[in-house]
Amino acid sequence: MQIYPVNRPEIIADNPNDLLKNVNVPENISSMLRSACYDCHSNETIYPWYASIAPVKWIVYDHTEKGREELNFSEWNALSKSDKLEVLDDISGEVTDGKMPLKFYPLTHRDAKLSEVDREALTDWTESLMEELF
Amino acid sequence: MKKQITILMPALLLFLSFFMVSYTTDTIKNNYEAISSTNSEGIEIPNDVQEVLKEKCYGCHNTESKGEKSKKKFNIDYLTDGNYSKGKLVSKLGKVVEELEENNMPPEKFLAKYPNKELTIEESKLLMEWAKSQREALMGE
Repeated sequence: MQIYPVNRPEIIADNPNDLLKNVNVPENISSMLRSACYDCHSNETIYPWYASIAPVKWIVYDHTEKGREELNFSEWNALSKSDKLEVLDDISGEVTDGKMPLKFYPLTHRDAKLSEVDREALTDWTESLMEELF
Repeated sequence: MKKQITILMPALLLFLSFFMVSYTTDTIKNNYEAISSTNSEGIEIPNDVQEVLKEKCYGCHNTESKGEKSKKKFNIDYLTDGNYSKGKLVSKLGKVVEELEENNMPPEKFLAKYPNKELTIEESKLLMEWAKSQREALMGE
């Protein structure tokens, strides 16, 4: 029985379809995305040192794999317009509700801790990008 | 004098009935105001769809709803009052289709309490077709 993936999700540095390479994202937003989302929602995961030790590594690998499946910013440009809209709407919902980033994540990644102001800025950004897409 | 009354009475009745009719239409209109049929973004909600939305969904998915989560995810009032941008509308309509396809709505827990709120297959199909067509229209497909 294999509950967690044993293989580490691959790190890919060059992602021509990446959101930040294709969309003009304001600096404050892009840095928030990188520090609070990109570890699980992109191909550019930065694995911490403890992520190579079991059992933590299984959890990290699992979250990274599932996170990329749900939303992978590195594949942004491959999404259809309607998928982009739905993804942005989801981001807005999850970030406002405080569901994302996952509660434990900022415990080990201080920069990932989002204030209310940060959350509002992110939500506003999703709204403006949604309008831009039209 | 008698003649005057015979002329006045019908006139008065006519006036009263007109007043009553306009009063009731106003009340009905107010009740439906939240789910009016068209808006500036071009969302059209035909009467049959309106009926289903009102009966089976609106209870939770409206601005005044106590369920913060349900109204945040999908607010039927926002479909027509301009609160949803075009992009949001496309997304929300897509999610309506998705949730209905997966048979997620109304939620099982809710149905255990209110079994009469379950969507019939026809109603679910009607909502999905409506959402799909509106979504495509917005996307210009």
